[in-house]
Parts: sequence; C-alpha cells; structure tokens
Amino acid sequence: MDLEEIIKACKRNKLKAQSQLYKRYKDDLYILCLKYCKNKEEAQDNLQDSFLDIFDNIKAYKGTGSFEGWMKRITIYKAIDKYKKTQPINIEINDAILEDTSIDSEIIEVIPLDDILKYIQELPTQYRMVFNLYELDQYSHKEIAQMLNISENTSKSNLHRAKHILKQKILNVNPLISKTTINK
Amino acid sequence: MKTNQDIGSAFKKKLEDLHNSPDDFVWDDIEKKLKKKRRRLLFWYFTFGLGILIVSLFIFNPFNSLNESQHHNLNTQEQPLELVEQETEIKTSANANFKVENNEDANIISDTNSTSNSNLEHNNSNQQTHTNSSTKNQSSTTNVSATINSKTQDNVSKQYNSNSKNALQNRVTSEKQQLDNVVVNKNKIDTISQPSMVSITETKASNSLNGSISNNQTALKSSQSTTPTRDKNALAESSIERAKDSLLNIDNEVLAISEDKEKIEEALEKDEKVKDSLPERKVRWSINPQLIQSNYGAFKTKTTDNTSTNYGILLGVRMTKNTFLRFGVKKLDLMQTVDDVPNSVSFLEIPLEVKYFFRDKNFNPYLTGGISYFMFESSSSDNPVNLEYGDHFSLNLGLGLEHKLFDRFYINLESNFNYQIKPITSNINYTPYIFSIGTGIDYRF
Repeated sequence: MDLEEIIKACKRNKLKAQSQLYKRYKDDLYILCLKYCKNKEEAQDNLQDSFLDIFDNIKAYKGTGSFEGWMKRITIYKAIDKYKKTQPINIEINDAILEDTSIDSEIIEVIPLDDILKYIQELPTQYRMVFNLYELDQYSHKEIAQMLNISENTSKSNLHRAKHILKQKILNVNPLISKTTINK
Repeated sequence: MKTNQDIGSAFKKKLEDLHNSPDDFVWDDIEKKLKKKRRRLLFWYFTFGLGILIVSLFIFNPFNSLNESQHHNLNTQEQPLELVEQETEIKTSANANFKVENNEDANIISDTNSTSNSNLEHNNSNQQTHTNSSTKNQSSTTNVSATINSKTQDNVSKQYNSNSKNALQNRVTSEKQQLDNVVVNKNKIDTISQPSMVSITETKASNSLNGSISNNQTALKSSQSTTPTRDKNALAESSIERAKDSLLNIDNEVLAISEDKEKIEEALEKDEKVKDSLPERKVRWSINPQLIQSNYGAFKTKTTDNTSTNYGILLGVRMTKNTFLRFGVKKLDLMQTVDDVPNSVSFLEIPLEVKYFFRDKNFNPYLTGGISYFMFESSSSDNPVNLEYGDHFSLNLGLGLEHKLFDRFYINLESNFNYQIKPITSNINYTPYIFSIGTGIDYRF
C-alpha cells in the first residue's frame, strides 16, 4: 500500500491503515520528539499524542506539500503546546552574550550521539525549544517568537544561551579535550 | 586539522545519524484510544438516532393515528351512521315542529277571520322551506358528524330529547286549543248561516297536521260566509274528525320518537362498547429482564464450544395494541472455537426492535425484528492471527411466545437470530452470528 492509499484509508478511519502510517513514520517523529522533550518518556508521550492529532486532523491534509513535513509540524506544535501548559513563565533574558559558540568539529565527532541528545534534553525547556526550532528545524526567530509567544530578541537571546550551555556541558564533561581543542 | 564549527550546526549534523524507535506500548495505547474514540462516536450516533426515532414516534405516532382513524371510521361508518340519520331526522322534525307550531300559534292568535288562504299558502311555503332546510341540515349534519365524537353525540341526544319533548308538548297543547276552537266554531256555525266553500278547501287539505289546521281555519272562514245549516253541521263534524286524526297522528309520532330515542341510546351503548374494546392506552410501557443462552456460531466454518449464558433488560413502549418498540442493554460474554482455537469476546448489546403480537390473549405468539449496536468490551484469543473485534451492528429477527401469568405479568420465551455486520476488522473467511434463546418476566405498566 503506497502513502496515498494509506492516507485515504486513514481518512476513513481504517485502523489497519493507521497502523501502517504509524509504522512508517514512528522513528522519524520519535527522534523529533526526543529532541524537543526532556526525556524518553516525555518523548513517547508526545509521540502518542501527536499521532492521535494526526489521525484526527488527517482529513484536513489536502495533499499539497510534504506529508512528512505536515506530520512534523503537528509533532512540534504538540511539544510546544505541552511546554506552554507546563511552563507558562517565559525566560526573558536579553543580555547580550558575545561569547563565541563555535566548537571544533572533531570534538563533536568523538562525543557519543546519545550524549549529544542528552545535552539537548537537559537544556531548560524554552532554550531547548528555541534551539531545536532555529538550529535543527530551520524556523526563523520571527516564527519562533510567534510560536512561543515571545519577542524575537528573546528568541535570539534564548538561542545564544542554549548554545552557551551546550558548550559548557561539553567542556565540563570532556575537560581534557576541551583544553586542547576548544577555542574560546 | 582543527576546524571550528557553530555548535548548532555541529549538533544538527551529528543528530542526522540518530536512529531510535519508540517502545511497542506506544502503538498499543494509540490503538486503544482510537478504538475507544470510534466506539464513543458510534455510540453517540446510535444514541442520537435512537433519540430522534423515539421523539419522532412520540410526536407523530403513526401507529396511534392509524388506530384513531380506525376508531374514527368505526364511529362514522357503523353505529354513528345510524346515529347521524336519526339525529338528522330528529333535528328536522323537531325544527319543523317548532316552526310549524309557531306558525300555528300565530294563526290561532290571529283567530279565524280573513287570513285563511294566505295562511294556507304561508304554511305550504313554510313546509317547503322546512323541507329545503331539512335537506341542508341533513347534508351538513352528515358532514359534521364525520368529526363528531361521543361527547357531542351525547349533547345531540340530550338536545334532541329536550327539543322533541318541548315540541311535542307545544304541539299537543296547540292541538287541544285547535280542537276547542273547532268546537267553539261549530257552536257559532250553528247560529250563523253562510254559503259553503268546503269543496275547494277540502281538496287542498292533507293528512298532515299543518294541512288540517289550515283546513280548519279555511273551513271556519268559509262557514262564516254562506254555508247552509246542514252543510255547516257536516263541516263541523268533519273538522272534529280531522282534529282527532291529528291527535292520533301526534300519538303515533310520540311513539315513533320514543322508539328513536331507544335506538339512539342503544347506538350510544354500542359506541361505548367499541371504545372499551379498543387498546387500553393506560398500559404503555413494559420492562423485561431476560436470561439468555447464546450460541456464537459462524457461517462458512465450523464452530464448537460456542454456548454461553448472558443477561439483559429490555424496556418497551407500546405503539399500537399489538406492537411494542423495545430497546435495552444486554451483557454478552461470547465464546467460540474455530479450527481448534478458542476465542472469547465480550460485548454490550443495545437492541432496538419492534415486537409484534399476533393476538392479545393468555398465550400470545409474537415476532421481533430490528437492529442492535454491539459495543466491544474485551477479547482474548489463542489464535496466532490477531482477531481485531470492534464495535458493529447486527440485524435481528426473532420469534417468541408469552403467557399471561396474572394481572400485568407475562412470562416469555423467545429465540433471536443476530446477523453480525463486520464484527471483526481483521481478515477472516467466516461470518459470525449469534443465535440465542431467552426467557424472562415482562411487566407492563
């Protein structure tokens, strides 16, 4: 069954098609959830709610644009919704941080992938959101500001803070490497 | 070689290699929620449909209106027809009596002087008018009677009674006065000699009361002119005879009217009996708990170990004398073994059926037919192919027999066949059905 047939069957609420759609996209969306959530449990919870939203709203998908992109947007918005519910207080930091946030690519290469994910998950939620939206999913600060109900400057500031925290984590966890390879 | 890179870009590039899968329970939870949602949706559709149906039946009640029209037909075609005819006659004669009496009274008051010819004509024209109006009354009464109920019939009957009595009393009184006048006139005739015009007036006279009165008056006038003495005596005697005949006629009419009254009373009694034989509207609801032995079989395959005991309760609302609309809930724990693999499944059945009795006596056979909504509750199977049971509908057909125990309690035994419409969503090459035999006590209130 190709994607178009699966989508049509999902629009008719066919459980078999819904199951196939889940199997096809569960990994991609799960990774997306892992990046936006604090931990695995929260990511799985977000994935479940996202798929339920996808099945509920699939009739609204007109077939224009990437279906995968449409599902990813739903998943991201679900994570943001949860964040808004649990963390209504914005972190409004507008301090100009002029610290360099670049890092030697070789250091990144030696850090295990799970650790990279863990560093992202350990970020404060708003920083994590902004970092993921801007760096990993290519949203602009203007869009992020609208999505998170913050100002563009706050978004920029949050992003810079997130990067700084990530860099510090790498330096703290790998002090030997950092001494020799990380430029400040 | 050291190459600096923005930490965001570096992380993005690194994460491209990330592969991970959610645990299996995530889909299980999603599936449960999807099924629950669909079940809830179907349940609300069903409840909404059921609600609309019941409300529509209560508002429009086609069965009841059929009954009423049947009842109405009975009223207008059987006894009431007789009633209408009698009422029409009564009205006509009573009205005529009233009017004739009034005219007669007027004639008597104006005495026997010089108005007899004009009175004769006037009376004749009155008679014609009465006849015409009677015809009109008859037709209009027939039309109106189509909508008459027993209450108005009672009123008509009462009105008729009083009107006819009054009319008769007035008529008897006036006839007596006429007789007295004739006797007085005879005395006058004996003393006054005048020519006779009897031959003309007698040919115009009829046996009717009005005719006789007019003739009397005409004769009187004639006798006041130039009638010889012998003719005068003959005229007076003939007048007395006619007056006597009129009284006899009145007696006959009294007898006829009293017979009519009896007939009307009989007709009203019959009408009451017909009403009594109509459905007892007071018994409107029934409640029927049932114990059910269910056989969960299947077409196109052989099943074994498929019998289970279940229970349910049905609420019925009477639509006609012989028809109930019933709905309720049944808890079904079904089991069947297909190809030596046992399966069990639990449903909550919500039936909506029509129950039709062939008769309403001590032993009443009946038919049931309708649909059921099956709400899936749980299932277990040793089948390697996972059987995905779901909510579904069924078409129901049943045959039963009930026996009146006492008063409003009935015991029943009924068989039902439920043809299942897609109870299992996974691909199977057989169609399950449920054949059940249930028994219970039906209480009506």
